[in-house]
Amino acid sequence: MRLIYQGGAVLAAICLVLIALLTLIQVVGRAIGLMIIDAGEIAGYAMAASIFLALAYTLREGGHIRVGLLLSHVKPKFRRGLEIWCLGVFSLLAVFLAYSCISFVHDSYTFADVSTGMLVIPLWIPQFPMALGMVLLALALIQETVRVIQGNPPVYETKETQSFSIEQN
Amino acid sequence: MDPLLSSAVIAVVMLALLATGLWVAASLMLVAIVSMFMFSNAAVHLVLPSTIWGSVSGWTLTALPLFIWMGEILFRTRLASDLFNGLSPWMNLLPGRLVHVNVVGCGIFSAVSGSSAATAATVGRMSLPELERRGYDSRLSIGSIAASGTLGLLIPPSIILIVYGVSANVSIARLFLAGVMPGLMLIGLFMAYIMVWSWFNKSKMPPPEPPMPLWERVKCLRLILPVIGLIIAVIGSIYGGFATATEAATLGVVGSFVIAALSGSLNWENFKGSLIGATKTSCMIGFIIAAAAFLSVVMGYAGIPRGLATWIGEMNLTAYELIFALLVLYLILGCFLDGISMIVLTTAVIMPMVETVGIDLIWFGIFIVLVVEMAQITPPVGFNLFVLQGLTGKSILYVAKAVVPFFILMCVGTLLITVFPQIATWLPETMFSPAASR
Repeated sequence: MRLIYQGGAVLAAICLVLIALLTLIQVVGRAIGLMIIDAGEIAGYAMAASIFLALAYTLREGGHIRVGLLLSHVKPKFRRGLEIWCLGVFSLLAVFLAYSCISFVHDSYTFADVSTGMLVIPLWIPQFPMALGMVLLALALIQETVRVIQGNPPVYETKETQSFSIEQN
Repeated sequence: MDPLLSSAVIAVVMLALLATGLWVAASLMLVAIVSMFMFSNAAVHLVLPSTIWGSVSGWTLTALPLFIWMGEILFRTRLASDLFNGLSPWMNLLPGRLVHVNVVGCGIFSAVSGSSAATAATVGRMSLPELERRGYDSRLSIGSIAASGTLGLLIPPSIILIVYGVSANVSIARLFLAGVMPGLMLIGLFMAYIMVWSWFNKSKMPPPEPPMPLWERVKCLRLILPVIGLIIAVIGSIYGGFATATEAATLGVVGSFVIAALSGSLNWENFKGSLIGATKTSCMIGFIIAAAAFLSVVMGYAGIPRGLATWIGEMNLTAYELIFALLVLYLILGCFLDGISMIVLTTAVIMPMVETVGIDLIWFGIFIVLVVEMAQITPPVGFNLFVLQGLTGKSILYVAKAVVPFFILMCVGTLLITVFPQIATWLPETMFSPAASR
């Protein structure tokens, strides 16, 4: 499972590189008089794909922001209860998100929605990573919930404090 | 339900959920979904994904990961030590001497990084031990690093200004330019304070470094030339209207790679680390933006922003009164929430109010960022305090006390831009080619 989440993160990282390359090609193209069609639009799709594909990995790395004030000041037993509550609620939410994103992409596919740019891209293609990313997030959350209920510390616990201070602000 | 009452209920539920430790994005979405069931008959499972998709698949947001990546690359170079060695022979000439390296170094680093804690950590890790070794007052150097680190939020590129621009639908390029003068003003205030402090505390100042001949000092400057060039290229291309924010960010990424290559720190390890770091941070922020976008749609269904705006309109508040009320609100929120969450949480309901009383949205962005900066250095949740605690091993209380004078200076700064809004709005107004301003 860990490899699948990491795979998502690698794809997400590739999407970021893609954004940089697309913008670069666009700038260079403009300088030499070439119009690059829809580079901005595709960069936007890559942005969305990158965010969603990295969701599960970022969760496991403790990258998503939360208010740790209460969690870090209560007894371990109470803390475990809180973690189960947080993970449980987020799992339910993520399952609902995954379900609605899948049906959203499915609708785009059946109604053959296309992008508004010059290249007529069927919208389900760039939207697919959103559904995939949400499914990965739901899986990661359920796995964590089970883990914590079984009495283990969550996988992100040790990583949370460090990533909190350096990367996010 | 009355919009005032329902917004109060939503706010309380939201804060309660956040307090239990539920992730910010999850809290926003959960509150939004429940409110949607209460306030409208629209199908949640249809509106939710299309709103999320629309909010993050836009081209404007692509500046965000690129600027984060740029900061991550430079974070892994020798930039901090180059800054220290390049600046210290010059700062040695000023009263207060090398403490100014903290302020100016943070100022320069924040012009390549959009984050406050990263700025404080990068510059502090290098300069704090050096200042300690030379016998400078540790309270002054810790306070100045913690406070100057927050310049990362104000001086472009700024992650938080991109988030504000996307959620309030304001031009990111203009916001960036608006942050330049207030940032320089804060640097000026901090440096003035350090000079005054050192005049009054001559006994606590270590002896000056041996003076360096002018030519040697000029030679030291070449250490920081590449990064100064990069800053001028990135901000200048936005100001000159040559590049959009995303294009300037791409330029920044390419330039950072060149700097990393020149300093010999460009290797696979650093490339991978910077890219994964940027992916994680932009994923976290993007998810919050998506959740906040959905929440604001739901708020719109419930008529809350309109209701609150009318309420504010009926009270006939002046702009100053509203600003003061919001200042208090944000300072309280800032005690518990980080800046990005604060901004995305509140823009949906606060923007209509702010527009009702006729406050400029660009100016308001700078104002919020100043308040967020202050929140970064106030306990219990001030991220820069944690960073400095980690760097120095001093207690959080010691660090918090050390920043108090700088906190007061930031209050003065906020007052100044409120009384003279031109400090923020002048530069974007003189920007070239407004057509490229998005």
